[in-house]
Amino acid sequence: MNPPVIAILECTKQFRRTVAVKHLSLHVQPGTVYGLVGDNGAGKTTTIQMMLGLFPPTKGTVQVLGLDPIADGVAIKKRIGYVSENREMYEWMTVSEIIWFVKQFYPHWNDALVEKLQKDMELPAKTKIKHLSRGTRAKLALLLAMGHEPELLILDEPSSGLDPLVRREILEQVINLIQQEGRTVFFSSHLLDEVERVADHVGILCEGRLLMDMPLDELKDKKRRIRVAWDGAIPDTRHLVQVELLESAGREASFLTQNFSEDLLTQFESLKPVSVQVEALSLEDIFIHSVQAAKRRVS
Amino acid sequence: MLIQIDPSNGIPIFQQIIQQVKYKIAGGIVQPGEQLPSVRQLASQLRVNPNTVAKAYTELEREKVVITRRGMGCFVAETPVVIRKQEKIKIVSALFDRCLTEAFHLHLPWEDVETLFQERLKSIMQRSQS
Repeated sequence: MNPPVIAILECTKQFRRTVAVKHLSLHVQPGTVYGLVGDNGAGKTTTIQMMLGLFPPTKGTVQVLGLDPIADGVAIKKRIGYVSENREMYEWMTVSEIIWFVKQFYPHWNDALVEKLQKDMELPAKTKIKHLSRGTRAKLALLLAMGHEPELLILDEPSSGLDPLVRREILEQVINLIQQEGRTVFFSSHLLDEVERVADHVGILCEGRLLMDMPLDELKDKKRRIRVAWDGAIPDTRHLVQVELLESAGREASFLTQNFSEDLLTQFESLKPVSVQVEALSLEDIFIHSVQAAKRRVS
Repeated sequence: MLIQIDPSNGIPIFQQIIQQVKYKIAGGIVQPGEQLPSVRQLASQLRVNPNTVAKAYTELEREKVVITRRGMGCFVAETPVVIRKQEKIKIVSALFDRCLTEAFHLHLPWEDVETLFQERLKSIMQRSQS
């Protein structure tokens, strides 16, 4: 296997009394699109900022493109693109001024690509950044992160606070980028249907811990909902293995399994149900169940 | 070929693509020998990860629904789709069960379900003949 583009090993990051990230380990393989999801305050931005070398982890190691984000900061920044959550830019510059300005930092800047993106995303060359709408700013920030054709693109909440039209445009540009061989994208998001569209690999972060880290397809194969109906009262189901009762109402109960196989269904037979249905879960369902279960365990 | 996907309905996106390509072929909207959009085109059109589209195409090829000609693209197979009959029955039964469960929960009388089935069958047979 190729060396991972991002390798985080047993990382903990503490800010004074707050532990933002706990024993986090994750690897991102080249050419994959990794979606990091988590609720607010789960530690997504902290994780990204450690990858960028904005601060060192309290414990553990972080490597990006095989390099140390702090010691080799400049070397890494030449090869990655980054869009921060707040999309900070020099407000007093115009669109073409900032493109020119950013270009100076990179020996390999693709003018043709930037021109094309500027045209496709309809960015007004002469407008000052402070006068741009939120959506246009987001598109400009993405363009600035892509001009040097980075091997790795890191996006922190690329579509938060944006309208559906702009979200769609941004998604299209990101998809165009991954069409190019070997490009890796790491993004955080809480728009789960977007993650479901573009991610190959998903990590679920909750209170600084990684609850789940696996290919999206595998995640969807394993986690299923089993909906069972009886023609009378619901029998006792506490003895069932590998399934967890999610909810029940009237004659119906639904169960969640973390590791689905057809064999699991045989145990329901003795309970004489009238119907047993296995349902696929959306990433949103998976996310909500895992985070709720994790929070229950803590409290 | 226009495909609609719904990322929030739970069914993995590559399976939604497979299902719809099969429906399009069964319904005659895409015909044997016809070229399918490239992975790149379909990924952009659906705004999904190209790996997902590639996975759907690989699976369709494995089931011999489509064939890939090197350097030319992906085409609908000329020969009728070979899926084991048992497999076909399994897929369709699962779908029937879903319908029937819905009908049951909606208290739709079984006679109505039967009539409805006949009607739908007739209409789809007409469409596939024309």
